[in-house]
Amino acid sequence: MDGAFVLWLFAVSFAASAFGGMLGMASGIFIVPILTMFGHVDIHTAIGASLVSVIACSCGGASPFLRSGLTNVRLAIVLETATTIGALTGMMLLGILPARYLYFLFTAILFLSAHQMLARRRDSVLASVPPVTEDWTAALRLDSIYPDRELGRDVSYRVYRVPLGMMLMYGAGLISALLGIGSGVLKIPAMDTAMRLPIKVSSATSNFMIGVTAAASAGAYFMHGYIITEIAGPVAFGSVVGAIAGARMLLIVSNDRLRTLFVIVLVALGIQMLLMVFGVHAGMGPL
Amino acid sequence: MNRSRRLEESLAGLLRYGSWLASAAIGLGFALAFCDVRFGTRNLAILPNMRVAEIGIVLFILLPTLRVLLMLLAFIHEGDFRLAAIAGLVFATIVLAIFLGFRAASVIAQPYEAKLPFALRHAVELDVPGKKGFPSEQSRINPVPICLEWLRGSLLESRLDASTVPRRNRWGLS
Repeated sequence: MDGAFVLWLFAVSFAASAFGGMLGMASGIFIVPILTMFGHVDIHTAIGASLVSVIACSCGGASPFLRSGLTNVRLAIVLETATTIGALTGMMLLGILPARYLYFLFTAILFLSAHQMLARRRDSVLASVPPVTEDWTAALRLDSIYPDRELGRDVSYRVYRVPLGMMLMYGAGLISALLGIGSGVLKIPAMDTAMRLPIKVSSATSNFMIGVTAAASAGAYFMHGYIITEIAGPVAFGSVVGAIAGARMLLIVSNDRLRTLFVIVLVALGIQMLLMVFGVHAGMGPL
Repeated sequence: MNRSRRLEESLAGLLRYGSWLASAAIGLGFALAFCDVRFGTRNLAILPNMRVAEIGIVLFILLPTLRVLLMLLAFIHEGDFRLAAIAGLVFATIVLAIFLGFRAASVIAQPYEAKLPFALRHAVELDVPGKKGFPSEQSRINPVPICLEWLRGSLLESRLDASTVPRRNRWGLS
């Protein structure tokens, strides 16, 4: 391992995290295939590095989102109960469900999410929808506002169907643990379509949540020596810088463009997953 | 500044400065390693400066949990006991997941034949080369009985002489 390889690790982590951070996703889903295919890094080491990258991406990107008022922290902690319990359940179910069925399930979810996100072209704005009183939302004071630079004003939004959102988050946590992937790609569509949150709020809140999901696995991996500092160090460093850059991009890109970009990523991942159902491995390391 | 905004600022500060501190530790560790004449050996692990970078990694792993803890304390301070209870549940679940994940990973990491009731306790503590197969082993081994077995082993362990099986982990601590 030499200095050039360290710089290469930093560069690829920066690029992956900038792109992932802009969408509110973990960069692990990009980093593992890159490290294994192009860096010839051992798959186990790559997964360990990707877990640290997910946390770094979440922590690094969360700060600009929080300061800009995009993250709904009250909603995040409520949904984290479901994701963490889902992850715990997934951990206990490891090995019971055949991997091929999981890939198929995940593929179906990705395509369904892409369809739902395409179908919903407009963000829910409080002024444009009839007032709805929901017990959970009111009791936990989850409704909030976010500043929309595109519109040049603060936009109020409601949080709908919290129980449904929690069920989906439980599923996201479960599948995340079962497949060993970051679950931002599932959390964002769940918040966007089921809970009717604005896409930027969904991305920012998802980014805030993904670090917690990865922390438990990362702790276990680290204690067992699967996280190699020489690899994970530059990856984490690059991820922080990339996530901050990605977060700044999210603030200026339009909602529609962001949604379209996210749908493209969903479809690409869905195709890749579908190939895996039929036994074609296209560099999807952690799966 | 309202309470919600204050919490967001506190969380942003924790994550921002925590991330930079962790990154600085990693950067410092690598910078010192670059200066080390042995860097050319292609084995960074032998360099003592890598410990500094490793502290940065540990800090990153701890940050999300610390963030949940900060939220728990903030909600208690605000008297928002519903959210405090929810944050407490999340914190407890993370700790449980780390605990179970650590134990399950320990066992899963070992060769299958080592997963026997009394061998289990030894398997957790020994540095078996078979652990390299950890992720692929995950796909075919159910950790539920392993965890239950571990719980049973823990109860038995308290009655046995712990000194006969030295526990070793990453830190070389008991």
